[in-house]
Amino acid sequence: MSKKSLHYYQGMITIILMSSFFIPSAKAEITYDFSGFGTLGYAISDQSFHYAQHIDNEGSFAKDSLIAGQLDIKFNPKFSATIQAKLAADNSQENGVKPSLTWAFLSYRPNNDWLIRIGQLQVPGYLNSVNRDLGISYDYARLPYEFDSVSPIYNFIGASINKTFILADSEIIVDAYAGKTKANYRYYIGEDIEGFADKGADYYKVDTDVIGASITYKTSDNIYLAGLHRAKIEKSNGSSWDANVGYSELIPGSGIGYYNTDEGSGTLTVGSFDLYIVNIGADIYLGDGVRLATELAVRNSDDLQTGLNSISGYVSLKKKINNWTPYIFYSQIKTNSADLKKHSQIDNNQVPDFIPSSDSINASQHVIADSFEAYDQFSIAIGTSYQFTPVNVLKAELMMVQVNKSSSLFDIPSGKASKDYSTTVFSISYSFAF
Amino acid sequence: MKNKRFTLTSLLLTFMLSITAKAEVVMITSYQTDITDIDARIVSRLYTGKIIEINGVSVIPINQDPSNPLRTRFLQKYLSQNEDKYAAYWTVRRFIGKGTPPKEFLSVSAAIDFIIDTPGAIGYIDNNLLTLPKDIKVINTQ
Repeated sequence: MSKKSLHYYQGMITIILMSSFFIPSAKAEITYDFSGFGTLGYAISDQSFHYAQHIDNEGSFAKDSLIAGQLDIKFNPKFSATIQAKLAADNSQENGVKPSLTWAFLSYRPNNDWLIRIGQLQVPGYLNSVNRDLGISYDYARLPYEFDSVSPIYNFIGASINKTFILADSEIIVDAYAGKTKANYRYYIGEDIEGFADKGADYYKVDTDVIGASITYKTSDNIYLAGLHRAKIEKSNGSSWDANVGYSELIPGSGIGYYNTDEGSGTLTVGSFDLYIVNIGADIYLGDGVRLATELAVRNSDDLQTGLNSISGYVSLKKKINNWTPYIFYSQIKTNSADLKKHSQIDNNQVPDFIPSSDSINASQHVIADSFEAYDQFSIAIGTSYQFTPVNVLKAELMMVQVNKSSSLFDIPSGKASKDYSTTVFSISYSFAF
Repeated sequence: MKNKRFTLTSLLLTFMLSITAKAEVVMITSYQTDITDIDARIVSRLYTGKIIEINGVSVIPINQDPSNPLRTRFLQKYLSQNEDKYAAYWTVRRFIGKGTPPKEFLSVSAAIDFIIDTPGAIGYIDNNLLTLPKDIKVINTQ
């Protein structure tokens, strides 16, 4: 952990603990509760290239394993604080583990209907966005990745306001949040070009401002929700984003040219870009122990021409049979057709051999396509959870992932092999809480 | 003589059974707390952390230890839940930053002591508890 991160965490925890001196606790004493949870998860695929950063045919514990501890401090019925820290795979580099804060906030609940929280929070508004780490809270071995990867961040430092409207047999919850965070944005380049690009994964450090709102309707059996989220993303080093990919003709009128982001190619740059996500979801009890869950998200930026502009969603069915809960799900992500077409044009563009440096130019097209990103894949999974107790759950899942035109969720070398392929992933995990 | 003994034993058993059958979980608070009636639905919301006040009065729900059979009956009567479901509910709620479960006590007498000392504290007892402390009142449940 860097010194800067350490100071940040120390500062956040100190503020929360010090607050106990300033918040009135009335006659009831301040209570401290320690608890924790974790998952030991193993996943292996039948391919040598990585899926979701960690999963390949050598197997990995990195994708799904974590351990977390939590301290809850209750000053009085209206004021409380929560600190949750976890140890999990480091998302700012390819290997290693890293401690991080998931929650670290002060909470004020003036009455039954309002809840105000300030500090390190998680993005609300999806069915599982605030419980992604908590394996015992869902039956999937892993949340459907096509959908779970849709939000650029899930943690931020800021504030959230929550208003609950209590109805006769149901409730409506409105959440609004705003804040900022520093994050690492991972991308993978599938080809080496000497002096220009190195094959492999790399990271942008980005500063992200987020704001959003969601509405949830809950009955005793069902949940329906809708959300709107905006992330303003800029590179931490201050450099700009290429808003589009330009094209330079090598021989005028010949149609021979190459895509690039050089000055004069038609590429525009922006200092930051806004990414909007609109989502809806439902978790419905169908009777006889059967639940249907589905979510859909549209992700779009008007500032960038990129494969990030996409639609993703999943639908799952599960049935509780005593301690067993078998399930199936179908999950998909697809870049908008215009941007997917542009990605294909870039990736497939090749100049003839007689053009000087044709090898480098042709390789650069793949690299630019990789940077442009594209998502065109679906997965089908079948699995089951077995609940020893509500806080001890074993899960196993078999998932087939099919990539059509391309998918930036895989680390795959450029070329023909990067299209139309499939992978099978087997996952097994044990989740617990204490 | 045998018949008389049998009749007496039967009457005693019937009496004990009738007491057991009438034993009911009722909500209590101290006289310091300005609450006289409570809806069963409100009890459910209180013990699931969805409300923290009743008619503007700040309240603190008090629970029994999971090993106490009284808690099982309370959960069944007011929340229509068993211990596993209730524990699972709070486990998730805690880790998504929505608070901690109600304070638990190992005995009814310890819970009553806390309720007497803490304005706003609400708990539950068997209604056949013979010696209800004078500072405690039963809240009418609708």
